[in-house]
Amino acid sequence: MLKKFWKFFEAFQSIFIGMGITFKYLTSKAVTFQYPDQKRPISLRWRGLLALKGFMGETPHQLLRESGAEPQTYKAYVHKRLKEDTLPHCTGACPANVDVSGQNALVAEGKYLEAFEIVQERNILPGVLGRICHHPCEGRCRRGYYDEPVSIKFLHRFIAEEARKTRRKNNPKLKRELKKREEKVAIIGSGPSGLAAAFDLAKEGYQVTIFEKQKFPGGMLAIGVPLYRLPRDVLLFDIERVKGLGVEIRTGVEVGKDLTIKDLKKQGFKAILIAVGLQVSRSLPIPGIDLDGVLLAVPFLKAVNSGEKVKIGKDVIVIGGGNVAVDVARCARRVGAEKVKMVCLEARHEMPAFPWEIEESLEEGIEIHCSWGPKQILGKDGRVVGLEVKECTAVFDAQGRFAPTFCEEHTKVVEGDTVILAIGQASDLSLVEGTEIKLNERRQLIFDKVTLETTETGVFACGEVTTGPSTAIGSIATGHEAAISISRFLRGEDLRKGRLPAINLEEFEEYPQVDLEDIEEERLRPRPVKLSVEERIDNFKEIELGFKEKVAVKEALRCLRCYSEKCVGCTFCARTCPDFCIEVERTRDGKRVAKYQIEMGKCMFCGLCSEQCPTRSLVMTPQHELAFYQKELLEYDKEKLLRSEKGYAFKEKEKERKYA
Amino acid sequence: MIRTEELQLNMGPQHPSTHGVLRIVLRLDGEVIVEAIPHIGYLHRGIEKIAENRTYTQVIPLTDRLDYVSSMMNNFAYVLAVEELMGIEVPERASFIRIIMAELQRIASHLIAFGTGGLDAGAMTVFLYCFRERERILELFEMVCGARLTYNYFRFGGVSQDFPKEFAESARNFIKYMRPKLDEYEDLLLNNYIFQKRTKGVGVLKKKDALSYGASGPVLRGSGIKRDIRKEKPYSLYDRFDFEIPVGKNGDTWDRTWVRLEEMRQSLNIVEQALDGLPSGKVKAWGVPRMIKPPPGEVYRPIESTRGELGFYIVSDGSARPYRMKVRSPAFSNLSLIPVVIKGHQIADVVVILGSLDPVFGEVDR
Repeated sequence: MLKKFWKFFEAFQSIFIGMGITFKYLTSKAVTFQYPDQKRPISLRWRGLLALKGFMGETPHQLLRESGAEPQTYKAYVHKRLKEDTLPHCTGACPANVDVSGQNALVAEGKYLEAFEIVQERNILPGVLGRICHHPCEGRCRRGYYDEPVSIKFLHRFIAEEARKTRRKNNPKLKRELKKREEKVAIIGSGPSGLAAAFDLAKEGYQVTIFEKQKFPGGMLAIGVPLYRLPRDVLLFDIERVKGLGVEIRTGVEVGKDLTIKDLKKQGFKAILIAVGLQVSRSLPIPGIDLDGVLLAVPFLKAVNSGEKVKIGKDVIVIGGGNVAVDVARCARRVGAEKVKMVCLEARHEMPAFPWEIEESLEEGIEIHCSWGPKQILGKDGRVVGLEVKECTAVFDAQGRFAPTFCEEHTKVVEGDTVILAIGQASDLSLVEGTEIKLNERRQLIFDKVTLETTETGVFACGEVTTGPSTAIGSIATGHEAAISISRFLRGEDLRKGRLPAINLEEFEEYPQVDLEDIEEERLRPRPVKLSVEERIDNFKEIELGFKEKVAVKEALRCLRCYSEKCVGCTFCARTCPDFCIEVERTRDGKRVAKYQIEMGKCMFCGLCSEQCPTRSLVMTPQHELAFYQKELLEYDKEKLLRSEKGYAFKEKEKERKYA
Repeated sequence: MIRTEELQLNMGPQHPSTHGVLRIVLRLDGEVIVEAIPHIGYLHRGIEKIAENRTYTQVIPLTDRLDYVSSMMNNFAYVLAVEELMGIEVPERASFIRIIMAELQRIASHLIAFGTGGLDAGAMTVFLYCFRERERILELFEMVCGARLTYNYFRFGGVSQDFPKEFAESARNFIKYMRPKLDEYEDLLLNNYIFQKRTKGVGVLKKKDALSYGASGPVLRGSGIKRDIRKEKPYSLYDRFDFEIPVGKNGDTWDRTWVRLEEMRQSLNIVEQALDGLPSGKVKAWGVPRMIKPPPGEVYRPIESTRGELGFYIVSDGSARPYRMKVRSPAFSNLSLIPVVIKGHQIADVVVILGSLDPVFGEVDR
């Protein structure tokens, strides 16, 4: 019976299986495809028609400054742009967030003084920084991804020179708008950070007085920076402008000796800002340190820069590998030393000095002995005759901290009759004695990282006292922060509310060097004129010369105005398109876009062009239907594309053709 | 006495079941095929030659147009080859994203092969279902890179943009949705009596022939040879994933179709593993120059594409454009099996066998 049934089953096997499936579907839910009632939304990344958002010169430039000049609102605005991923990298990489693209846009239009005012709002010393800045912005300039970065530093210098030519001490509008406030603020130290804080506070109307120990203002810029890098009249002009806002600078007054902080409070200063910087050179605990002919870096540089006679030998050894050491070595070469040798712990690529500085010093015939540490200074009859050095095997430990290890057996002797120590600086904080300001065990100030307030209310600190060895622009940035804190303190507001941290430099990575072989010469950055080694070796003439007006305007036009959403006619989209369907041209003077044409019939929607548009003005819209059904929209309306400026021959011709 | 005569029949190039523009010249003895000669070249665009006049980046959208059913795979192979030439290291997240996209692409492409394979044998339902499922994958792709067919998504050193936030969830939903569907299609097509009658024992490809003709991919594995470049010579990060290689027994049309279905299951596993282990980080290596100029030299980098071994042979002379680019396309090698496989079968089987070889003519003609 079972066998019979099995035979029957086998014969109609597939029918039974099919019936089984059919029943399964009958009992389960219906699986018919439901067509949506509404049109389905298209993905935002849909690659449809290409669209241009705007053109260079069509509307006023979108400047970061639009947020207003208040330091607080400006910083909030910068952070907002960073969050939206539309912050130009140069502005983000600058510690003081200088509006570089705004500067470039205005220089390109010939409005040098307006550009100057934009820059000085965040960078109080444009002339100085245009010469000595270490320009972290240029490494991150997006132009550096295509060919070479824009010379931001030299444009700073150019607009400062222009302002100096017109003898424009201050923005008259700014001075007219100044409010008067009664509160007095004392700033100790007239370095970059002190000046920046003074500028911000004076703009708000506070009565600011700067106390300077030296006979001349400028702090480390006046003492430490050699004349061949920074002529003093430039520095003085920049400081004059701060004075023009009503800031009083009292030179030759040392707080802590002539005056105390208590005295300042008695004199009615509501807030005090310590901006003394690092101005005491560190010494080394090695044998022979008190021999005749051993000098320290800061006194040496101060003497050289103030034109005093310095007694050094013919054969100078400089210990240290930082920027100060390079300055010392190059100054020594200019003061009369015939041979200068630098001895530093670090290997050549680890040296903290900037590479271009090292390069220039090598040109001037300075020897660099890398990976050697000082063991003892050799002397004869109380005079220096040489330096015994030992090999340094590693400078940093596994955690990246400074912890040099030496190989004691491997030594050599470097001959010389003068040794200058440039191994680092410390701050002289003797002025805090007798106050409530506390120092930690390493004699550093204790302060709040956000508000920069010290342990005594009403006393703030900024500059290298807070950051450690830093750069001029970094000090200026902390000066602005301290100014925010002080003005809030004087108005009785919450110091912490809404304070934002400085932008991490690692947000923006440095672009690698581009192979410049195939790139046209007009796309490259201009090289500044430099004095030759023979011309500069025996004097303190400035080495690099600035840009002339024509060069500067051309250079400013190279700026891509990142994230401005205005096409600048850089032609990088046309160079990327695999189908060669984009045509871009600038006018002859380069100041505006004359032609932008996309042949949509050729376009294959690969999206490579919009991907690498630096301004984000060229985008792929999700308008796929237009591409399919409305062919006349595929071609751009040329009248829309061209700027609506009078007397444009091209536009007129087009019209004629239409009505002909 | 009836006089018999051989008949010559042109199939294609305009024929709905040749999966493109293929022309096969068939010599028939009655219903039985004596000889079948494929003629190709109707879709020749000279992509290899065009590539010599484009920069390396500009070639990426061209590779999209080779095998237009699985563009991601072509991107992948080309980008890997240039990266090997340049010595670029890809960030881990970018590698994971690439693998997810490649495996989803494999599913989408196999769904077409599976569905149209059924259609060739007269099974209409499965064809429609497969295209419905493929649509979901295309939506995922659109979400990620904005295109549905020619993606142009891979870049040297990574991919063009990161996943949107919603992607991981949508992909998981898709996997959850797809698994039972595959079982259903196995019931609907592979276990179908009619389909089995049409395909079992039809178009048998012997191991020896498969090897000597350079077949690869599901066609080779259907003949019982366990060869997969993802396992044999792992590229990208495939050695980190756990998956199996399905192998057929007889080498007939049914086996090849089954291998494809099984591969889809394995691909779903890979996508799930990759989604689970997706690391955070960058999706593009830093420091890749805008103008790619590889050092002089040559490279051949094969990958296991949907259809088999897809390799790019690139010669660089140190300039910004490739000196020579040759594509080793799996569909071309697989297509050359037609005379061997079709011979001796009836004319009605040609379409079914051709469907199981799954050629795409963008890749065959290039």
